[in-house]
Amino acid sequence: MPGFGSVGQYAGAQDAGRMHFCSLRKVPGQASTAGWWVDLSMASGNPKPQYYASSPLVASVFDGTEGIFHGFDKSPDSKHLTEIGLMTPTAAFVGQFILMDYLLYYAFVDGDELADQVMTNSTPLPRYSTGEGVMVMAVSVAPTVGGGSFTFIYVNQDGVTKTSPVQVCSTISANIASLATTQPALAGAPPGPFLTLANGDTGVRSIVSATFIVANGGLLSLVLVKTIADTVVREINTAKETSYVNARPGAPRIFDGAYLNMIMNCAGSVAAGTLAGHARFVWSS
Amino acid sequence: MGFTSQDDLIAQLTAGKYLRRDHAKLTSPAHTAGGWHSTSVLAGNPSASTFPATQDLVFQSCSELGGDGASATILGIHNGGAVLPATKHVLNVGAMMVAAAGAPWQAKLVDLQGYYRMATTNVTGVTSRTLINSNTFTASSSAGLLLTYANDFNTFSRVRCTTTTTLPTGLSLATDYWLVRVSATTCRVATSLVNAIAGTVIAFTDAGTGTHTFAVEMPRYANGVGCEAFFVAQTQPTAGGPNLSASSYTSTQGVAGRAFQGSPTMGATADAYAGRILHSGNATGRYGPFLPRQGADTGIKSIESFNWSGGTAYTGSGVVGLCIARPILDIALPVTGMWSERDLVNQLPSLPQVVDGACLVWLLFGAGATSTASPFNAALDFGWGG
Repeated sequence: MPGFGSVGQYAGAQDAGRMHFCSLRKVPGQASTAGWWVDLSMASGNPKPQYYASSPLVASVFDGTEGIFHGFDKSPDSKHLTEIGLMTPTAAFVGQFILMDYLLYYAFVDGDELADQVMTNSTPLPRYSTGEGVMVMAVSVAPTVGGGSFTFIYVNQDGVTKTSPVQVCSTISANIASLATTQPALAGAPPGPFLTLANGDTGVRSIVSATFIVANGGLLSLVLVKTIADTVVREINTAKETSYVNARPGAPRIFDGAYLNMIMNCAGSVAAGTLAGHARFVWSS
Repeated sequence: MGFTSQDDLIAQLTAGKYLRRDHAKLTSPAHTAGGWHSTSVLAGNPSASTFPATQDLVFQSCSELGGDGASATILGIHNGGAVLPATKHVLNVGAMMVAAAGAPWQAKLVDLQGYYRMATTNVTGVTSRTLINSNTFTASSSAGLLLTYANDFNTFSRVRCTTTTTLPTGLSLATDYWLVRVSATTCRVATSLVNAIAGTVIAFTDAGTGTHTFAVEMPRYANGVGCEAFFVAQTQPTAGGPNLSASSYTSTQGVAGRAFQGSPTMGATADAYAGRILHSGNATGRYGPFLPRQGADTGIKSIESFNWSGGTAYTGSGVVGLCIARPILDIALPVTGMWSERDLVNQLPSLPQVVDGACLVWLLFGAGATSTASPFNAALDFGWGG
């Protein structure tokens, strides 16, 4: 059975060389606004940025080696995140971070199109195949005008097709790389970075279509993600290291091929700010 | 081995089994943003290394007292010599960077096992470089058993011997020995690192029969367990920026023909200055600080070859070291002028071991462009027991 049975086994994995370390550095080029969630996968630095550039409305996946680098495939062993460290000299980077496995995305959803925008789903989820725990975020990839709303039809974690509640977008323009539904104090907006699902649903397997009720302008990518871990930067010029071995319920598993990156709840515009850090992984024997 | 309890730790330390070593390096030239660097080539204390070797491509084992290559520059942080049968551990680490620009930084302490030096055409070439990890030898008598061979291996290299017939008396198969370098092509042999340092070598009895071979091992980690590899520039090439198009290494698990993954790209000359880990940075194919090992490999026993035939070949007369090191610990340096400390007694994983003979070197990551002539200061507290 893959995995670890004790803290000693984690420590032993490091002694035995079953450990991977990577550094990361993000210097976003895109402005953001305090209180919004920002997608750092689009920010310059290392890992290199990605821009959700693929065929419009077609389910596309990421190259796991181009995200926060966790090494190559370890199967049948199981790989786990044990530590994240972050630090910044930029006040806008103070806030909450979520590390996620970016699974699949639908590029270039048109915020001005009021007809149904039907997705092409020839590519299934590469991991978490049932969709259990998989969330959706709406990332602005061309600045929106704002004031719009939309719903989307999706296949939930049980394989049942559902229609989402109405998703209220920001009333003002969402910058590139900002999550378009995360303007603070926005009545009716999803209560966090992810879109609201129908009552009782715990995940998304695929998106069938998206329909704007009120035009929002710009372009969105609808991104299916699985949250892996949370961490925080508490203040500038201070390193924050989070151990997922002894400071969280357990070291989360990282599946082979995972594309890891982060979103963060910014305290201001992160444009030209600097975020540095590292991540550490171990794998079982 | 080690410490059995907090009480035992205190007892050992108060019995004098404690050492603190402060050290400092100075950045030069300026570091570009997002890169990893080896401070081994920087001026300061301990001395800068130039990855010396009288012959390119030969593995040069590094150690605390044996230093680097043929010139034996002591490039590692002094850590108190051998303490066997006790084991030595880092209790606490502190570090600071003072720079006009470049924050934040991350520093990583590694035990440099050794390097393969490359210069001129071995840097600029686009054909496969075959690395040398073994030599055939003959045995004779000269103040002990004297081995004679072709290439120049560093003193205190750890080796294992094989033969087509019978090894010289005093040498056995599947047994570790340490070389005591006499000249570029000769050495004596000791049965332990402590004996090698003391000059206690194996006596000559006979030369054996058949053809004998020794192969260098990672000096402190069996089969290179946990060891990682990285290319470091020592002298900047004139132009270019090649890709690692092929490589072959033997894993800790003993599997030959493994390859570093991800088609790592080496920095263009602007990012190939002295100290820069060439494949770190902010572009496609940049992996920092280490070359990605294949699959579930847990370490590097040896590297047999590599090729930089992709991308644009370097030109000029650069010098590069292909290093192998075992990571020991990390510490974050979030801002200039602030001393960071990490307690390694109570944090997990705790008390990282420093194996006798360790050649301790700091690697340094800068999120921003770090000014030249910026001091990097650090201190390590060691304790040993068992």
